[in-house]
Amino acid sequence: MNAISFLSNSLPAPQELPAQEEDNVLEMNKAVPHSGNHPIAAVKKKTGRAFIRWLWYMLIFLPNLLVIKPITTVWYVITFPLNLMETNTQAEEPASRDTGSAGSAGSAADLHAEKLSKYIIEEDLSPTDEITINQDKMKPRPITEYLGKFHFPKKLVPQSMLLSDSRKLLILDLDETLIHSMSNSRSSGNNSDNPAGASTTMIHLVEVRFPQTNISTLYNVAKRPYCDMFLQQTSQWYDVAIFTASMKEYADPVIDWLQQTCSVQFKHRWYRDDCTLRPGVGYVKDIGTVAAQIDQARELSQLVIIDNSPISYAMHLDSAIQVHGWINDPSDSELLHLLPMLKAMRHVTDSRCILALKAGAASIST
Amino acid sequence: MEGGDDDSVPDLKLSLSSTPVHASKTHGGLLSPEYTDSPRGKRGHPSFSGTPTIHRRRRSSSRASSKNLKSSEISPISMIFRNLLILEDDLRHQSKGQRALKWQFTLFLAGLAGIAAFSFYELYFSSDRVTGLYRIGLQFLLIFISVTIVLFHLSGEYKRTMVMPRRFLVNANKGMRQFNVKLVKVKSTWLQNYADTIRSIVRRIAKWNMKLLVTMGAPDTSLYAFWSSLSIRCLPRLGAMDVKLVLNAKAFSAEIREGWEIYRDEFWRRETVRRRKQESQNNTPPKRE
Repeated sequence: MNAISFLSNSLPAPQELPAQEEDNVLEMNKAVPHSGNHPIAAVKKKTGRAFIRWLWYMLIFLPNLLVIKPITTVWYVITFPLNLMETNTQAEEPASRDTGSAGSAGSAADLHAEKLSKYIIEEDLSPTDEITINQDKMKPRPITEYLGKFHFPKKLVPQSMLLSDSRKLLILDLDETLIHSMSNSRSSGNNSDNPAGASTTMIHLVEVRFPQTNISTLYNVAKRPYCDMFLQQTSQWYDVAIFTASMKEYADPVIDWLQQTCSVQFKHRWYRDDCTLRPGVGYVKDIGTVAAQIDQARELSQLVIIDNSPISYAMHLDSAIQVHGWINDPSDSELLHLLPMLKAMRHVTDSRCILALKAGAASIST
Repeated sequence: MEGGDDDSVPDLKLSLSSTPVHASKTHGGLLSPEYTDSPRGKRGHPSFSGTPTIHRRRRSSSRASSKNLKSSEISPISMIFRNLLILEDDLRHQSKGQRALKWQFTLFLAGLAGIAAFSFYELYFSSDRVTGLYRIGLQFLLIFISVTIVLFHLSGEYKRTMVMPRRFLVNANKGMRQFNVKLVKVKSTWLQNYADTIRSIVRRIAKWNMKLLVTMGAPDTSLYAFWSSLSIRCLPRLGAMDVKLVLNAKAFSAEIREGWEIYRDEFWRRETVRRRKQESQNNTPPKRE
């Protein structure tokens, strides 16, 4: 009996047990003296209590230690760099806010408008949204004074440009830009200039017939390397047109052949008759006029001309991309090199802003 | 019809007397006198000397183009920088796309090579003799992969998917050289890359959870607010990462180049703020009526 009471006293009372359960245990302890002759039953009760306690620990502490705590730790470790960066950003923010606040003074109205509508679309650079760079004491003048004020667009690419179906017009030259050709009679006499020298390029014979004289001539035509790829890809981004200083009788069969083999459709064709002849200079391509003839709304900012001859685009230097003339170099890859830039230029608001940069600092005159 | 050649072929196309040409080195790029002397426009005109002519022309036209601006108060430099931003952003996307393409096909080819190597080893080097249908299957696999790889190369796909993406920066820079701009790589630290990866993963999880909560009809709960805040905080980093455009030091002064850098950074700072605002507006659950 004493032994039992000693055992019951020496065992620590489980704190986690609910009060009701504890009462039950006490009642059982009290019941033991009455029963008197059943120490084994009492030991069994003790074991059961220990089991319950162990189960309790299992339920509460084990998941905490094995699942919740490790997950929290792993989460902390994973997001530690983020937290670190965020702390740094927050520390830097007050400093940078001074610079930004100068420009945001005029944007209170914009903020108000932004609250009213869910999607604010501001199409263009707004004169009110400008910044003034803080003066650097080491420099005599601030940059904005030198360059003029900076105006920022609300969106990178104007929504109108993304949503509208109209594309920029890419005007390509034919001879020595996309192809090279020479009459059959010439090539037989002089092989040094023969396009057949270009081993990898495909030679095609084009028959040119003149309705007036009824004379027909055969031309050997070779495509510039990457011509097919160039035309196929650019026709996905631009409306492609051909503007050649050659005559219609010659150009039409060649353009037809290009259309067939490259599986592209040229939107427009312009020939020598559409060029302006400048005495002593040559044929100049007035792309502004010819483009306006087909579409009045098409501005010069939406035109790009690619030509090998600077005389051809002398009237529109800011809209031109210069390529080297090609005769028979099989390793030429100039058309390939133009593709990334042409793809990137399809969304610019004014192509002249980019193409005029070939003039260097002179293009940025305030 | 104007002019005729010695062999009385009518003059149909312009000659190439004055323009620089890409002719193969074996032929020296020389034109025959007969060909050069056609009586057409460009004959006798001094060859293109490049920058000086453009400089002269440009000054007059830049004044004309500045008049075409939608608002006279907007500085031309802002227009140029804004268009440069668009150009740069598109080139960044292209660069990313090309890299993804390269990785995709590298993995594809590596997988094919791995399977081919396994088949080859099993057939000819393994100590256990391979027999029966398994052997035929392995042989078929080996031939199939070999043919695929040969066709992949011959069709030009290898060049498109592996060679050109690797040379993307070089190609783009060759095309843009005449415009005095250059695309350069921007190196980011491992910490930034790691943070970007985690951000994109967490953002995806947050978006998924938000969608689930909306479907369950509990968009007003604090759990939704938590995921919403997480998705805003995990917006992708913007700005001059990966690649950026720099202006040529020879053609532009230090002020202009510095101005371009300032303009770009300021724009992307504003864009980050705008996107965060828009994200928080998008995340606002629709009110029940």
